[in-house]
Amino acid sequence: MSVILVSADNEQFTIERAVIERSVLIKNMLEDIGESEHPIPIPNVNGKILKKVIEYCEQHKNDPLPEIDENQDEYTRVRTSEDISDWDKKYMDVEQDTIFDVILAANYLDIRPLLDLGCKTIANMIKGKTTEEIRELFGIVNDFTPEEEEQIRKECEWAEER
Amino acid sequence: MIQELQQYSTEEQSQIQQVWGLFSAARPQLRRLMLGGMLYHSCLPQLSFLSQELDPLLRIDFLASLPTEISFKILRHLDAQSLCRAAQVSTIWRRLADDDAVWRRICEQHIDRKCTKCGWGLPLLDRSKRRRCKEDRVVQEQAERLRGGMRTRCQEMLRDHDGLPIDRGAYATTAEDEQPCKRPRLATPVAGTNDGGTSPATSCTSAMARPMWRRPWKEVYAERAIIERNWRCGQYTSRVLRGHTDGVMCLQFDDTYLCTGGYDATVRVWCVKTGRCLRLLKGHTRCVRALTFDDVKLVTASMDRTIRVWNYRTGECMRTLEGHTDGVVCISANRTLLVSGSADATVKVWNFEQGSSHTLRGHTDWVNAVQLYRGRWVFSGSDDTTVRLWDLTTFTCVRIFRGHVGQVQSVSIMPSGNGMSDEEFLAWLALDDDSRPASTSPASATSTHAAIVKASSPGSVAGVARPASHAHVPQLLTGALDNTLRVFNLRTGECQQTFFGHVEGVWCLAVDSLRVVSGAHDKTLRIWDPNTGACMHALEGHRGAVTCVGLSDTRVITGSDDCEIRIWDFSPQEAVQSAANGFIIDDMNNIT
Repeated sequence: MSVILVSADNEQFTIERAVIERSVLIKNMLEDIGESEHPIPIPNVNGKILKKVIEYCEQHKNDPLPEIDENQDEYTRVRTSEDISDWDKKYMDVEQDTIFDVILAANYLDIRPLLDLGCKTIANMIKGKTTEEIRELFGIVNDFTPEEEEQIRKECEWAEER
Repeated sequence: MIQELQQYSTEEQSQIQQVWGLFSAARPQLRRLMLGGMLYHSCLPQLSFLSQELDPLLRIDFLASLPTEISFKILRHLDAQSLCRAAQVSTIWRRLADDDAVWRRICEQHIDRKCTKCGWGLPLLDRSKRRRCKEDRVVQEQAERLRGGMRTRCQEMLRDHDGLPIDRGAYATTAEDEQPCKRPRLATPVAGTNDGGTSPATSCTSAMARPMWRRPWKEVYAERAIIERNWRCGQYTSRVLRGHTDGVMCLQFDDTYLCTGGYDATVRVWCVKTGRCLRLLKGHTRCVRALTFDDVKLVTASMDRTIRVWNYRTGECMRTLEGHTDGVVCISANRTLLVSGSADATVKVWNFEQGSSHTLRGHTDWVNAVQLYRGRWVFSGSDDTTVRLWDLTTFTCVRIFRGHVGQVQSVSIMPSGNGMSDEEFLAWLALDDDSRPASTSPASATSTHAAIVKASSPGSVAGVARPASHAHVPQLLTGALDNTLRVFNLRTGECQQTFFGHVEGVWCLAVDSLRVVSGAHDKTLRIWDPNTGACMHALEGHRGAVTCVGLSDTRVITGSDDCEIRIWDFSPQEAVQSAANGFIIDDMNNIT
């Protein structure tokens, strides 16, 4: 059985129900309304991003569903921040604004593994970089006063001496 | 851009502004079309300009732009160093990256355990001290409740206990008695990201739900990270305590007291902080080979065949236990039981509550080391090169560990506190029948032994299959005069790992959740990684065999044949010198 989704910019997508049920939001919605021919509006996500999200769901449609247990999940999630599959890595090898929108869409649609993937991707971009490199990477302006900057540097000195 | 525009004529300015105005007023679809057209009409230098300008514009300050809870999700994937660097990026990043919940999580992953992700572990720090503070508080609370006094917890927390460099609040719940509570801590609900991290201390004192002072988790982590680095880099300060007139043979210490005994037949009680000898206990007539103390009593064992129980605060000998037919070489005790091993090849179990004693026979030579485990089992190591495991409910030998080719001098269990219950441990231990000694070598009470094994194993095997976490499966660690330390599988009795490094016999060892230390006849103290068996440091200083060693989160204390005691201190404020040029404070004590 398939489902029709309509993006914020009125683009229509027809997808297998099993695929889009990666989204807990839509899964619950489908369970509530039952079988229906009506298209489902996704007002917070534009066509480009929805397409990208569906691509992810297609790829991962056979994955086991993530753990429901909140604590357990949190814990195992942290442990696995490095192991991102090649497909996922390539999937996330896009402009920052796309990553940004995918994260927001995954959060809205409640697709946990995708949200995690987005967060891990950003975290991996931050890891191992100096403060200046991080600012450069994300286009951030240093808004500290020189005094503040010196104070924080001192506070964090211990982490640099290895 | 406006300045650039003003260079042009009024007419041109209005044209450009008109184009901009049209563009900004257009619908998204039309905007795209307009841009497409402009791109079509652009030549290469203009496209190159575009590409250059676009790059920085497409960058996004994720942490500042995403909803806060998602920003925290990102930060949770970072290590301490990355978090510190992130905190220096901007005001917003600092607020997020210094968040207490984020750091609490990092602390949970690293303190008193090896992080499964990075392999790092940090010390818990001063467990016993906090426990005592806690006990004091409980007593005080009860007293005040009786009086109707309503002192706030905050005031109590702030009241300084000896200016300890630790947070009593942050780890109050985790500093439960004997069990360091690794798992309970993880089992507590992880604080949500936005609530700033419920302090564990708050939950432990839920009866008095008041706001209280607590150190930030980042600071807690930082302090421990520095100690960890000192251990790893071998940065320490050392002090030498002199007083014994012959070889030092045994020691134990906590945050306040250090007790030592030796060939001069005396026991000395020292202040760890100042290095002063507080008390000299005389009574034994031959070498003091072993000692153990708790809050109330000090128990010493001597080659004069006796065991003495002392009030070490007054120096009074409260009791003398006799029974062994040769010198007493080792002891291990809890609140009710005392276990002693002797040159007469037996192990004796003394029950203070019942006033009874039992003798465990099986070893064929001196028993050099005993270790009480969970109040129900005893490990014993002997000159006969074996280690035996005894069940105190039946007083029978239930395992024999073979592998050493020299006299076993020390035994220990690692990790010291693990997550299994006694029942789980029993079931787990009983799963494998192959190494039971009944068939291989006769234990003294063979008949009852067989009966007990039958009675205990079937039910328990059915009951609990495996301990919940394999990371906490206990292992036996032993040191012997064959120059090695060995790790044995408790279930199969197999030797799993051998630590090579000492060039002469190993006399002593100590272990905690992060490291193993050992002293040997080669005069060195070695620090080992318990997982890999790699020797991390070999510390030199003693001029004789290192005969006894004690370990805490920040210190190693060793005693030697050279009559000296050395304190190797890895705590942050003191460890400023490297191992190569560590200075020595001689502290002569002339107490007679």
